[in-house]
Amino acid sequence: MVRGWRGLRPAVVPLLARGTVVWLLVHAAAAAAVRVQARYPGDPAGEFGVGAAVGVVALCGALGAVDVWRRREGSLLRNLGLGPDALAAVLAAPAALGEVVVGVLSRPGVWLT
Amino acid sequence: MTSADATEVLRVDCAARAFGGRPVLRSASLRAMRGHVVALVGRNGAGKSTLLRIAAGLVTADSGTVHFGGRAWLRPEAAAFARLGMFVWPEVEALARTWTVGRQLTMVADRFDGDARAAAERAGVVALLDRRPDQLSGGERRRAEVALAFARRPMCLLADEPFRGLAPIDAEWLAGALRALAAQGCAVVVTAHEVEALFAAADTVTWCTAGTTYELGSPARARCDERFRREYLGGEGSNRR
Repeated sequence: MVRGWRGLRPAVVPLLARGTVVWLLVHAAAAAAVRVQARYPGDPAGEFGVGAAVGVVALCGALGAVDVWRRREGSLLRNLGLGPDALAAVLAAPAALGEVVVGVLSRPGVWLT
Repeated sequence: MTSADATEVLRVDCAARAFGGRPVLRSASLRAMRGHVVALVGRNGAGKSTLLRIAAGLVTADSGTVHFGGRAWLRPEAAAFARLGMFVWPEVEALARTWTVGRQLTMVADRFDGDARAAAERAGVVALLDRRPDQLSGGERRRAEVALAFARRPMCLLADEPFRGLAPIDAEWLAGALRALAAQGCAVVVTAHEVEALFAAADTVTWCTAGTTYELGSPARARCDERFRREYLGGEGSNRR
């Protein structure tokens, strides 16, 4: 008998934890890059927009996939029934959630700004 | 297990696959029966690993069908097969490097209602539960991988070259473990070049050659097949008639 997501929790939680750390680092780096770029006069890219957020999510997913490959976890995860689509979703979820939260909180009138 | 109990669990029909324009399989078939161990043999590059990977849903065939879990799949999915009861034992690293053996056994057991402790005891890896795979010898790693299969209690096990690099005593143990899985009702397909160990475990032999496959029957019957002896077993086969 196959259990649902509950049975996958021991494998998925470390992936989410790693994804969160990677997102924090990638987002910080991307935000710093945007700030540096904003110092140059005449450069239109002065804020961390939707495009940058999507890029951060994609980069975090890609880094997560490389990390899974590096740790040779693919076979175990596949045998646990976690397919490539679900794995991509798990790897990108912390970044996607993080970008949404940061995006909402940094809107004008919200307390981050 | 009698032949009446031997229901078909997995079937690959007429699979063809080419890599970079070079055909590896032209029309290869494979059947795995409940409670049976199938030895999938063939020379290097004959396509047996490709056939196994098609059966596992890891590679999509250019043509052909995989039947598993009560339906036919034109584009099989490995994860879906895993949920339906397949366990794939790849040639390299079935265990992740990150987690200890015990943690990985627990993951599999929790997911599929198995018993991690019992699986570890059966495979003789209780003392290794706190170690990570990179801290194990080749033989210990194989035992830990078998424990993973025991914890999964699969309906179908596909093992690619599990005997590689094993000492004869470990190979003998592994053959026994594969037989034990089959005795539980698992359909086992194993590829290997270690003919003695493999044939000791196998009920039937499927020979992969020239892009196609032949079911040769029992290992004893396979050894009597003149072409198989000449083209695969070589001197070893002729000495053991």
